[in-house]
Amino acid sequence: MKSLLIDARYNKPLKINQDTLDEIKKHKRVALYAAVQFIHLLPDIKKQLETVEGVEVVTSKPDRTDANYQILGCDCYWQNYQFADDIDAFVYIGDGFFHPLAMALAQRDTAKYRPVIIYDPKDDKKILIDLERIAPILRRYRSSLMKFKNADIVGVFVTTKPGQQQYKMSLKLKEKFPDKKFYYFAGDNFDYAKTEEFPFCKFWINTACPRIGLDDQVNYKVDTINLMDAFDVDKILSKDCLLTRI
Amino acid sequence: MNYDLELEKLKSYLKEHNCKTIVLQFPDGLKVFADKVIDELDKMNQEEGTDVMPIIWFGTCFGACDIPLGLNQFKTDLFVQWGHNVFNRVEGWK
Repeated sequence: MKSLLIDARYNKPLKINQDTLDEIKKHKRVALYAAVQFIHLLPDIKKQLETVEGVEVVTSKPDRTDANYQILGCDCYWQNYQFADDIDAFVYIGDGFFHPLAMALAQRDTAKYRPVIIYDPKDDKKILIDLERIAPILRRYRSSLMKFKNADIVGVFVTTKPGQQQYKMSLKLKEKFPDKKFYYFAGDNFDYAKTEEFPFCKFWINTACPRIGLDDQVNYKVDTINLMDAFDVDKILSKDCLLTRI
Repeated sequence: MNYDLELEKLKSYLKEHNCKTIVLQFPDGLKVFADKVIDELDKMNQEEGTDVMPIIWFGTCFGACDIPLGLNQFKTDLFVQWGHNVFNRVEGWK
């Protein structure tokens, strides 16, 4: 089966409004990103922002993206952005919270919070994601990381979606944690409610999209962490960063 | 348990066909017993030197018409579904 991916580009003119510019002005160095629908417009947006005195605009191409300025929901890890120097804020062009929340959550293992400034062209409005917005997510995730250390029976969810499948990597859990009992599960979708059907697993490791373990988790009582964080649990919990401080 | 999961039959098949990675699918009423099956297979691995890696299907199991796709990604040697028998597919619904 062949696949065809269509960008569905935004086809209206785009200029950031004054309210958003005023917010951006408060920062010296901002990182500019958008979902694929808007990236063709971002070189012009960058020019517009560079006319604002005192603001430097940078961007990058995170590992899993296909173009500069593009961001994906899984860019919730700081190293994905490959910044040469630190930034003071993120600027996101587009609607919805899925992508900009990735920028906010990516900062969890860094020492300071950089606000995410959203310009929504559809409604011509500015939205700000501050630290308070993600605090409940970080607190819950830290709690799950701590619980994982003492969990003796763990369900490991592996997806059949080819882009998110991490089965081979997940098998290393058994070597890394020989004292824990791991039950492996496969499925095309991790539904928290479905975990109740397997009551012998009180704790879960999600190996699919990392956003399932991060922000989805706050809506459920099931304790879950993402695969790569399981390997690094001690390192993460001993680091002085937003996740451990908040 | 009120149901015979026929684990001896399963273990014989696995050994006879030298199966490594297997995926096990249970209908809702039997999902709670999935750990018992895995524990039995782990015991077989330890005692008999087999190397079976069982994976439980997380999703639905509505019948033999509901066999999951994409399991070849795990190099699956055998797929096992409990609680249903052969589904004779007919083209179209009527």
